[in-house]
Amino acid sequence: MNCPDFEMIVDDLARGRMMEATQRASGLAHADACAHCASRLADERWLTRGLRSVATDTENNEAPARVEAALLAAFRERDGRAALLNPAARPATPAGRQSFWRVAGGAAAAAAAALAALVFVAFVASRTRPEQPAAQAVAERGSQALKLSAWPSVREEGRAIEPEPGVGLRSGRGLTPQPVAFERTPRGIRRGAMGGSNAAGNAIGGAQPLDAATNSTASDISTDFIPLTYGGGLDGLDSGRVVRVELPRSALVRFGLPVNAERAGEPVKADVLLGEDGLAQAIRFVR
Amino acid sequence: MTARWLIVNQSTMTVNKTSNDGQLLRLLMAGDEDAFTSLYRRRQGGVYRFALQMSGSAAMAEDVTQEVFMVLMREANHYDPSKGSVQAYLYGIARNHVLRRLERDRPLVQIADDSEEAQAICPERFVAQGDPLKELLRSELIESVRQAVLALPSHYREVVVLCDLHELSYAEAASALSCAIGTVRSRLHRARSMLIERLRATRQEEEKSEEPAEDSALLKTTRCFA
Repeated sequence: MNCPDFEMIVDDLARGRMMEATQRASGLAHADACAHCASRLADERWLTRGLRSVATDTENNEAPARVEAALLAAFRERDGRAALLNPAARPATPAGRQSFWRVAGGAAAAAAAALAALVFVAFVASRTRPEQPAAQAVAERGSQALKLSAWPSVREEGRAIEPEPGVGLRSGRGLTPQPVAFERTPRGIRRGAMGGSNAAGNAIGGAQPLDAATNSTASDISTDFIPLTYGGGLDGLDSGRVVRVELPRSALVRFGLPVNAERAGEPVKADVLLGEDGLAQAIRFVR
Repeated sequence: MTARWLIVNQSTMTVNKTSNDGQLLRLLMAGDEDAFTSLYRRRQGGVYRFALQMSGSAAMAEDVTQEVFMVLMREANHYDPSKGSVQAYLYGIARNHVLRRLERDRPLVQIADDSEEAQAICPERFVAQGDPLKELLRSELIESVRQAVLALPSHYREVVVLCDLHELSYAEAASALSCAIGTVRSRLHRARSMLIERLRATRQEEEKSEEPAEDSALLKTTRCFA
C-alpha cells in the first residue's frame, strides 16, 4: 500500500469501521513504515476520540416533554378531522377503531353543539326586546343540551347597559338575568364580568365595577376580544350583544392559542360579541 | 409503490415494542395514536440531537423536532422504503428544516454563549467526576470539538454529525442527505481534515498538559508555596 491508498482508508481505520481484513492489515503495516501516514492516523484517531466524547456528552439530550404534548394534541386534531372527512381513512386495527370512534364521536358531538349554539345565537340576535319571552321559551327548551348563556345588549359611548331580565339564560341555573360589564383597555376589551339581576348600569366606556359578592364569574380570566375576519374590528361598533357559548377546544388552535393536551376533549367557553346585524364581530375565550 | 406499501398488512397490525419503524409508520398513517407516540419516543432523541449539533441552539432543536414530526403526521405517505430507513427519512426532514432556519437566522449574531440555553446543551459539563483535571480537560476538548463542528460549512457539518456523532452508515447518511455514497465519503474525509486543522492547537495543548504531568504538578506546587 502507498500513501495515497492509505489516505483513502485512513478515516475508516481511525473510526474502526467495517473493512476488509487484508486492507486493514496492509494499511496498519503502511502506517508502521511511514512516519507521515502514522502521524496522519494518529490525528484521525485523536479526532475520532474527540467526536465520540461529544456524542457521549449529548447522548441523553432529548426534546422537552412539551413537544410531545403539543404533537399529540395536533395528532388528535388532525385525526379527528381526517376521520370525519374521509370515512375510508378509518383505522383497521381494534385499537385504531376505538380511537377513531372516540375521536369521531367527540368531534360529532362538539360540532352538533357548536351548530346548535350558532343557530340559537342567530335566533336570539334576531329578536327584538318585546319578543324576548319567546326567545327565552325557545332557549329553555334547547338550553339543556347547549349550556348556552345570553346577556343583554351592550351600549358604548357612555350609555348604560340595560339589564334585560328576560334574556339571561343558563342551563341548569334558572333564568337569572346576567348583565355584562366591559372595560375598554388600550389593547381592547379585556375583562368581562357578569352580575346578578341587580347589577345594572355598567357601560363599556368608564365601566363601573360589579359587586363581587353577587358576581358568580368575577374570577373569569379571558383573552382579549379577537376580531373575526369578516368584521371591521371593534372600533366601529356602537352597540352589540355578548353571548357565551361552548366550543370544541380545537377552536383555540384556529385563533393561534395554545391547547392543553390533557384537556383536549373538554369544551372551552367563549364570549361572542354580536353586532346589531346579528353577525359575530369578535370572540374571546374565557377560563 | 408507496400506496401499495401502505395497504399491505395494514389490517393485521397492532403497536407493540417489537414493531419496527415501518410498521409504526403504517399504523400512524391509519390514525393510530399509539403508533405515533411509539415512533416519536423512539426517534425524537436522534432528531433533537441532530438539530442541536447542527445548530448549537436548544431552542432551534426543539422547534425542528416538532416540525419534523408535524411533517411526518401530514406527509407520512411521502416516505418511500426503497430509498432508505424511516430514521434516515426523519433526518432528511430535520436537515432541511435546520438549513432553512440557519439560512433565515444567518443575519442574527448569537451572543448568548453563557446563557441558560448554552448550558442546557451540556448541564453536567462543570461537574467534575473522578480526576478534576482530567474532567476539565475533557470538557475543554468536548467544547473545542463542538465549536469546531459548528464552524464547518453546513454540507460538511451534516456528514460529520450523521456519520461520526450519530454513527449512521454511509448509505443511511446518503439517503438522509439525498446524495451519493461517494459524495458522503468525500465530504466526510474533507470535513475531518478541516476539523483536525482547526483543532491542532487544542490537541497540542492537550498533549502538553499530559506529557510533563509530574514536573508541571511539582512546579505548580513550588510556585504556590513560593
